[in-house]
Amino acid sequence: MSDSTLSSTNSKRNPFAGILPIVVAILLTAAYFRAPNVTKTWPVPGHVLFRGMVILLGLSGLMQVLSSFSSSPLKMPAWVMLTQHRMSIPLEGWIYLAIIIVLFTGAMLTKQNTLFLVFALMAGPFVINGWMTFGMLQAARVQRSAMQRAMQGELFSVDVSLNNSRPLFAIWMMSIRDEIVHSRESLSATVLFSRVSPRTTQSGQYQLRLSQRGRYRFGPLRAASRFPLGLVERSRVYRAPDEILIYPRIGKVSPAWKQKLANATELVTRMQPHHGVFHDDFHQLREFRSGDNPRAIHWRSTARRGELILREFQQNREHMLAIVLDLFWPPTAANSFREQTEFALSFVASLLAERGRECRDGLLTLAAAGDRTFQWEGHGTPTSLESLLDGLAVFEPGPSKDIVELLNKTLHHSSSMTQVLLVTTRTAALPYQDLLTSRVDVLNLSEIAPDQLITYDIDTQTRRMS
Amino acid sequence: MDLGFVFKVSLYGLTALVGAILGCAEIEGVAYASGRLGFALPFLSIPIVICGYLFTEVQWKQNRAVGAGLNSFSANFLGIAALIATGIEFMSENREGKLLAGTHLLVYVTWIVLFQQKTVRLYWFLMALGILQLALASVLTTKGWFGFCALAYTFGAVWTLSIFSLWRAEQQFEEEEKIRLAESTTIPANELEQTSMTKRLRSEVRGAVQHEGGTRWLTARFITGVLLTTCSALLVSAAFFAITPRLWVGSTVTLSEDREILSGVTRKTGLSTSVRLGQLGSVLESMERVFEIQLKNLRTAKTISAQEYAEQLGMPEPLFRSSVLTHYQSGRWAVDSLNDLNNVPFSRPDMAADIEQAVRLDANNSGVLFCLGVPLVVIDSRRQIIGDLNEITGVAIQNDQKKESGLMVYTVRSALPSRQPLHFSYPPSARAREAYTRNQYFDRTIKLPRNLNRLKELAASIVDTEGERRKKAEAQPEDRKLTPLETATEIEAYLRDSGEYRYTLEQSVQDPMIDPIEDFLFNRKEGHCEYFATALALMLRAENIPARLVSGYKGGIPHPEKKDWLQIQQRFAHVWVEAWVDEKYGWTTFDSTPVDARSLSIAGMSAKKASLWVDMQAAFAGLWSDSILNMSLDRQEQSIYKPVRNMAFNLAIFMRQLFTSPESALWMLFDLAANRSNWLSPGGVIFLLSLMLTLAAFAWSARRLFVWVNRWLDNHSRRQIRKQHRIVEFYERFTGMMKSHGLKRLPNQTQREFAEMVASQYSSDLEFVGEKDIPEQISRLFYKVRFGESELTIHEENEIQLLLAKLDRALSKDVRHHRDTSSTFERERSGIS
Repeated sequence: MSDSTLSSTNSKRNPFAGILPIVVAILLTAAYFRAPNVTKTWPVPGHVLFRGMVILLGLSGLMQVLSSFSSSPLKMPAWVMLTQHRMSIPLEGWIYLAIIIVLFTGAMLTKQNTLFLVFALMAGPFVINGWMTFGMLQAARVQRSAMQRAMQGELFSVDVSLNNSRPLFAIWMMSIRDEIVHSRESLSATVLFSRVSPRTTQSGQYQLRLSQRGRYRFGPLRAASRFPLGLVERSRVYRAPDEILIYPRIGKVSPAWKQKLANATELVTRMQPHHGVFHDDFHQLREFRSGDNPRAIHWRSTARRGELILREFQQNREHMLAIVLDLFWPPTAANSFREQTEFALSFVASLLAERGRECRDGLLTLAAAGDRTFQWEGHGTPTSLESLLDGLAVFEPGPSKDIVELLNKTLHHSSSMTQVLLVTTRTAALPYQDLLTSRVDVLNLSEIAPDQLITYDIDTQTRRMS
Repeated sequence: MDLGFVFKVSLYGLTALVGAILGCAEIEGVAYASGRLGFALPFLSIPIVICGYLFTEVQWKQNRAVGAGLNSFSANFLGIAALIATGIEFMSENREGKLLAGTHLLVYVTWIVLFQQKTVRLYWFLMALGILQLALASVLTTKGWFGFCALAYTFGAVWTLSIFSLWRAEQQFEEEEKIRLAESTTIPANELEQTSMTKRLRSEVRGAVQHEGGTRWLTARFITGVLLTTCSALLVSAAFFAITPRLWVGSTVTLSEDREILSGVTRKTGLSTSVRLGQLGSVLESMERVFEIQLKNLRTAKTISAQEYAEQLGMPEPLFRSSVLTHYQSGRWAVDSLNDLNNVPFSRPDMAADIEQAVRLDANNSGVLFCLGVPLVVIDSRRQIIGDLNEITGVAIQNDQKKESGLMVYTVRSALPSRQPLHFSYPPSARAREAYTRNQYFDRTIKLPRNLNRLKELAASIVDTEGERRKKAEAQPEDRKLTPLETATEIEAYLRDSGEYRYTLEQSVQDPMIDPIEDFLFNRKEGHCEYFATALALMLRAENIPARLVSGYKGGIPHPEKKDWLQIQQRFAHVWVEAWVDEKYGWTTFDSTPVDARSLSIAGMSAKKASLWVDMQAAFAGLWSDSILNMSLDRQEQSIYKPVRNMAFNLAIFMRQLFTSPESALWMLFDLAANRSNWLSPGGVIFLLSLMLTLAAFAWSARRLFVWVNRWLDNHSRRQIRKQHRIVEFYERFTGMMKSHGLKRLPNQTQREFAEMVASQYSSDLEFVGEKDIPEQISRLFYKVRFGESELTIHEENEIQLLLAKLDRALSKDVRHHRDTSSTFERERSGIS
């Protein structure tokens, strides 16, 4: 029961909620041993049952107390869980229960049937609350339907469906809570179904925007209800394992850097199959913008229109690009260094995706070293890019032991027509300095500001859900 | 409609309702205790609830926030003030004040909370205070209206809590939305400009509420659902109430004299140990049952009517004695302390007994065992003696052996007089007479308050007048002094038959400055039995005749269902006088209440109420009395446990017969079904329920088993599919790729054969990329995973990706196009592997 706010996704656990069962268990134990004349008439199963109940009561209280001091709720090991149903009594339920006990005790002591009537009138709804929630959960079938892949920062929906298999009774106010777990963060989402008619299925959606690259695991789904009185909460866990792969973020490579790369391309020995200033195909004429290459100015059109007109060339579709990614993680690096490695992956993915779009038939290769090595060769086709992004999604930085070998191999196997770009996150001296010839463009991300290389679409990717 | 508004109105309305219930209960309690009808403090809860709502929940001005109210300091200050006020009330000499101090403290706290700024906790607190107030009201009253009010409160409480659940859910999602919006607006502008994606990116989750048809929370279905829930809850409550055994703990916890005042069961007139003038008026309109009696003549072994036996004892109507009151002061009678000291155990069943009286007595805490005449012994159904005789009063009292607080069933044995006396009298034993003398009992029974001079004069006047009349009538020269018996008879006759005084149930006080009895005798000249009996007792005392007041019941009605039983209801409550007029007879009964007027009043009450509404009232009163107020272990045993036990026993026999002799079991079932009278008997109903439950359990088990088997089969097939799917994932990509190029694996073709076919078909293309054995490698990995049951290593996964990419490229037209133009391409293809 929260005080200052009316609601909370994760209700604050109250340590005192667990004390009551412990106290009751202690009192029962004391009464058991201090009043042998009462218990001596019990049969053996009665003793066993009583002791079992007391132990369970005490343990449940202990669990609650420990849970309140723990940052995450204590979870019972799977082998202990005999059933997927869970019951918990919130603080208001404990208070209600305490009032009921007081009424019962008062009625028994004063021999007042009217007071006993009040006790019974209060006990009935409490029992019905527990029974209704149990019945609803028995009939509930929950399923999740989520996409398999998404981009970092992309907003998408996850469908949760709730089926009510009961023939007569509806399901009321049932919340389905889903866990979305990544190695670096843990999220939970809730969909509340206000009513599901008998023998029907309702679908609800929750929306997600995931910031961490890699594999997120869904589940378990936890259906819970306190309806109607909020005194007893029962829940049921549906394992429903599923996962989603989050790709590195794809941005737009800055024109300046693309230009720089294009200039570097000129150094690469290649065939001259087509005409064009940069061996590219002519694409269109457009007005001159600051930063454009003056060599591309179309003087004739400029003279005719009275303003600088530029010839725009499409990238040659035969460009071949080989990227060697040195995703080095220094042993003493702080967590903030992850930002740089993430950016490296994002940049590589963006560059390959963009180049793939522009030169659909050009061969693209990637050799990456981090905690392991990853090699990819492909084109700009969606299938091919998907396999690239799948690999990059789960690629992690590391000691990058094989980087020299990878670079060597790449240089050895790639032709002189292939443009080689080395992307590194190292801040110290490069161990492959000897291999860096004029063929290799080196991009050290520790020395260049990210916004000079790539821009992200702020409108679509940083828009807050509102 | 706004959920918050509905919830708040419901909660505040519920608080007002419980305030009214507590107010009514307090008025009833106080009225009984002190006789005054005052204003009860809890009634103020109603206007305070309205003010509290307007003050804390309504936004009057645009700039004033909703939810304003007392801060914690003010609330604590008022709480201390309430505690002090309660303390003062508790310390006062007024007994009711002490009793009600706790109640008022609860009411004060409720008021303070009403004016506080509300949080969820305080809303809950308000709810809990309401329940506690209801519990207190249940202690203060035992009337039937409380049952209705408790039901109404339960309906209201379930409704309010259900709305509260909805409102909290709505608030939860709204609040999450607010937090999200607040977070988004607090992001610095420069951060948005940054390109560093991890600074800008933040995982976000947005939950949702899924309504069924529209976005309304409050629907007709919801309201119906809540009503059904409440009805179900009430059924469970009824089961709780009926089944929970009344194993009362320890001795009765009493609040000293207050127990008598505030306890419901002892409030039945005729059982109380004090009587206040005028108190009986409202009781005489009640048709609540007190006890039932049947008499049997042991000599003839036939039943006799109570009236017949009463006449043989010298009573004009059956008189059932209860409390004997000695002390009078300012309109109030109280018992004598001597009464408690002279309880004598009955001897074993007396052979001299002529009459056996079977009594079914409703719950009471007085311990009085009602009977007609003087009891010789009181025994229960197991023939154990359960009572003592109070020798001072002649009333049978429950002994310590069996203290029952529920319905009592017992038998009283008594004697027939040898000859019919003119007046019924109770002759005390020698031991009692000795006690009278030793304890100056007679002094107390002639004690008269000092301010009753006019009463004394009236008594003397009656006696003198009668003396004169008798002197003349008997023609005696000397003054004729009346005997005590004659004196008592004359005063009784004067009050009853002179026509000077009228019988009425209405109460009024003409002169509150004088003693109520003088107000009756000289001003009002009308009243009911309490006034007539008190006047007689005091006037006898004025003539030095020991007299005492006896409360109990006079008369009754034939039982509506049981033949030869007499039912005694509250309206038969009566008060009369016993006077010590003759040493031989002891305490002789005199009744100065006009008989005809009283009978007419009772009959008129019955006639007036002979309607459907009254019948319903009577039925409810009976239900309330039998099933609520007087619920006891005995009654549970008779009405619930025993039938259930019998049914279980019969069911066990039936089940055994079903296996040993199915024919007889079926006949038994047929008998039960064929005999219509069994259908509605408790046994029949329980049997039917058991049968239905058994069938339902069977159906449920069968369904569960079916579902379980189905699910297992489903899971099994899904596991198989998943297993296959795992191995096919990359191979399917390969086959898909081939399919797009017109090559499809035949059903009778193995994967290896298919690979060979692909290799031969595209040998030139594969040769061009320098990987002739791509199909073979793919099929090799396929066999390894599919039939070798081994997982692919990361290296192998990468290898597959590369192989598939190469194959894709080899099969693409463009590559084939460049095959001629680029001779160096081949070398590049074999680059990274």
